[in-house]
Formats: sequence, structure tokens, C-alpha cells
Amino acid sequence: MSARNSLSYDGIRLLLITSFLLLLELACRQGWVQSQVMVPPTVMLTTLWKLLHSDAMVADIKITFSEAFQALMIAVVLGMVLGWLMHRWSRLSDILYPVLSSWYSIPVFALYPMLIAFMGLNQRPVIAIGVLMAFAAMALNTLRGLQSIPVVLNKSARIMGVSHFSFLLRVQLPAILPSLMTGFKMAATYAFIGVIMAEFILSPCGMGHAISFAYNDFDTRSMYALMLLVISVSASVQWVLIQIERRILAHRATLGSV
Amino acid sequence: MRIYADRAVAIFLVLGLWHFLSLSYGTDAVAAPLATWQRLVMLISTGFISPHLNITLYLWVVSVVLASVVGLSLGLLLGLHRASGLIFEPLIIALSSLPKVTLYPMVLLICGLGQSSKIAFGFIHGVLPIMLFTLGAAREIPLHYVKTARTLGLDYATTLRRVMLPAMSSGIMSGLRLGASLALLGVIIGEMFGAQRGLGFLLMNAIDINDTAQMAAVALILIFLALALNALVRLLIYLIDRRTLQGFTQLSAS
Repeated sequence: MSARNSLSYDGIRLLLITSFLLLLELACRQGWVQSQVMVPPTVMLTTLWKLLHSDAMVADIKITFSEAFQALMIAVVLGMVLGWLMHRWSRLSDILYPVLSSWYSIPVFALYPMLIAFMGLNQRPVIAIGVLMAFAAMALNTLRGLQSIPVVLNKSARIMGVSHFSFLLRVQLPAILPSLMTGFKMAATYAFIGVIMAEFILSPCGMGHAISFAYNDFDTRSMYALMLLVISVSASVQWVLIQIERRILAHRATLGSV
Repeated sequence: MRIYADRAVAIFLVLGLWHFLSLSYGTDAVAAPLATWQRLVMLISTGFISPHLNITLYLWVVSVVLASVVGLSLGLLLGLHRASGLIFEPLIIALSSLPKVTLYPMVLLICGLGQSSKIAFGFIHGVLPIMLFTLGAAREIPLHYVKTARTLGLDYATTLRRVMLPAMSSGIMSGLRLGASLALLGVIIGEMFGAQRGLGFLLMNAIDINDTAQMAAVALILIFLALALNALVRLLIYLIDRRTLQGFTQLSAS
């Protein structure tokens, strides 16, 4: 019953998006919206198709993905280590927790010019902004996961004489897997947002730069085609991560009932 | 007491690292902490900063008000009507995880280079989290609250005002806090492109003329402004929360 319900919701959602796109198409074709302001979705698609066949654009896309991936990996490792350290030493968490919990409100990109100044105008400051945007979510979720481990697990592990390392690997890590997944999902979103934003502000290459270049060039078609690309990439990555998270949670639920 | 000492040590470490960076890369790359401080004092004492600060704050307030009104009402509607909530929630989540800066050229094309584009961009950043949190809060109102209200013969408007909204308050407040912070980010990013005033413009201007002291000073101002506004919103929410709690206890006492 609920599966059929959610299926029909998916259907309605698809219908809504399709009718929105059709309306947009109609509005642009009929000239209700100026062609300098908005282009029809079909034109976005055909332009995107053309862009995807140009080497320069493919290079830009690859650069953005590699930057986002590197930023995410660094942020995940950094966040997990920081979260674990904060769990171990409450003095550290007393200092860092207030900063990290309001991290989302700090305009990290304000540091971008300084990062460019001492790292050079290349991919490194872009990656650094991605890391700065993403690591706090990972650290906080790691910390939250570690703090919510039931005390009975710690005690029984100690009674069984488990070593520090295997306690970390066999007890703590599996116990906080759902929190890690939540952190990973947020970190992936933030890293992508950070990388695109840094490229948009100032960068010699990448998708964000391509969009801002197209805007400054009055190339509205390429601009919208690239926006469509970024939107669909971000939405599909988000969808995949949500599916994985749901799997892990479902697995957890069956474990709990055993 | 120890925690303040720890924090002081942490701040000194950060300042030390900053000073070391500026020494090793030169002041053309990174301005020294002291030079940044002097520039900061100069910017404030000469009054140079105030028109920029005022315009940024003005745009922020307008976009937060707009985002709250639209976000709260849409979130409430979607939360109370279960089916539409389930249909729209994934769409709102997808929208809020977008790198919204990619949409800024579109906003500029539609709203023009004036202040409305900055307000619109702040609004886009702020409205989505407010909507999401309100929706979630409305969906999670315990069913027996509503049923009890109905049994007691309250009409719908009174139920909404005296039962549902107070039950949703903590969710709504988290949404407002997040939305207000993100709206500030949106306004500042908006000011970095195609603006003649505002803190975002000052930052972009410092990049263009490679004035590292101004970059660092404006970055510091932005960070403190964000933290201060976040604290202010927290305080407001605390006060409102306390009032609703008082309302609750009065209600249960009478």
C-alpha cells in the first residue's frame, strides 16, 4: 500500500516537473519571456548536447569533479579525525564545538581571496574552499555518532578485553555508520557547492567559471545549458546518496529487530 | 575558568599561525594580523564602512522578512496537507542542495543589476530551509494534540493558533535561524557581482585591486557580522520560546 502510494507520489512529482518545463517552453516560444532572459528547455538541452562534444567543456567538467572529489575526501578524513579527537578530549570539544555548530553561518568564501593570494590562482584554493565548507558537517556528525553509542557497548568491550584499535574498528566504526553517512551526504553537498562557488567567483577553469564566463559573454544559451548540467548532476548525486543512506538505515532496522 | 583559558590559547594559536603565514608568504599575499587590525580600526573610525554595512544589513533584513513570510506560510500549507508535503519535500531538498550561485546569473537577468537582485538571491537562500523545517514541524505534530483540541470543541483557527503553532515552535525556530544565516550569505554573494555598495562589493573590490589588508579586514567583519547576527537570532528565538512556554504553563494552570 505504502509502496504504491509513494509510486503515485513520484508520478505526480514527475507530472509537475514536466508540466513546469512545458509551460516554460511555451512561455519562451510565445515570447512571453524575453529570449535574453530565459531560453526554452529544449534549446538548453540541444546546447548542452553541443557543449558536451567540445573538448574544452569536457575538460572543465572533469576539473570540477576532480576538485569536488578531492575536497570531499580531505574533508571526510579531516572531519572524522577531528570528531574522534573531540570525543576523546572534552577540552578540545569545549573549544571547537561552539565554532563548528555555527560554522554554516560563517561566510567561508570571504577567505577565498587570501587563499588565492598564498596558494596561487589554480585548483588548490578551490579545493581548500570545498574542504572548509564540508569538514564541519563531517566532524559534527562523527562526534554526535560517537556520543550516542550506548555505554553498554563500551563496557562489554572493556570486559571482553578488546584492544584500543580493534575497539575503534569493530565497535565504534560500525556503531556510527549511519551518522557517518549523514555527515558524508552533507559534506558532499557542501563540497560541491563550495567548489562551484569558488570557481564562479574567480578561477581559470571549471564549470562555475564556465557559467560566469557565459554570463559575462551574454551567451545566455550556454549559461542555461551549464546551469541545467549542474542542477542535474547535483540532484542525481543527492538522490544516490539518499538511496545509500536509506539502505544503511533499513539494514540497521533489521539488525535491531533480531 | 579553564575553558576560557583554553579558548584564549586557541585564539593565540590561530593568530600565531596567521602571522607565520604572512611572514613566510610576504604581506603581498597575506596581510599581517596587526596590519589587518589597523585597517579594520581605520575602516570603522573614518566611517568608511558604515554605508556598506548599512546597505548589507538593510538587504538582509528585507530578504529575511520575505523569506520568513513565504517560507512559513508555504511550509505550513505543505505540512498540513500530507500528500502535497510528500510530493514537494524531495523537490525542496533537491533545490536546497543546489550550488545556488549558479542561479545568480538568472536572478541578475530577471531582476536587473539593482538591489532587488540581491534581495532575491538572499530570499532564495533563506526561504528553502525555513520551508523545509516548517514542513517537518507541521508533519510531526502529535496526532493526539489535534484530536484533543477537536474533542474540546476548538475551532480550526484556535487549534492552529493555540495548539499547532506552539507545538511546531522549536522546528520553526531552527528553520528561521538557518534561513536567516543563509540569507546573509546570499546577500553577500549577491553583492560580490554587479554591485556598487555593500560588504560583498568591498571584498570583491579588495580582490580587484589586490589590497590584502582590506581583504582580511572585510573577511573579519563578515565573519563577526555573521556570528553576531546568528547570536542575535538565537537570542530572539530564546525570548520567543520562553514566552510560548509561559503561555503553555498558563494554559495548563487555568
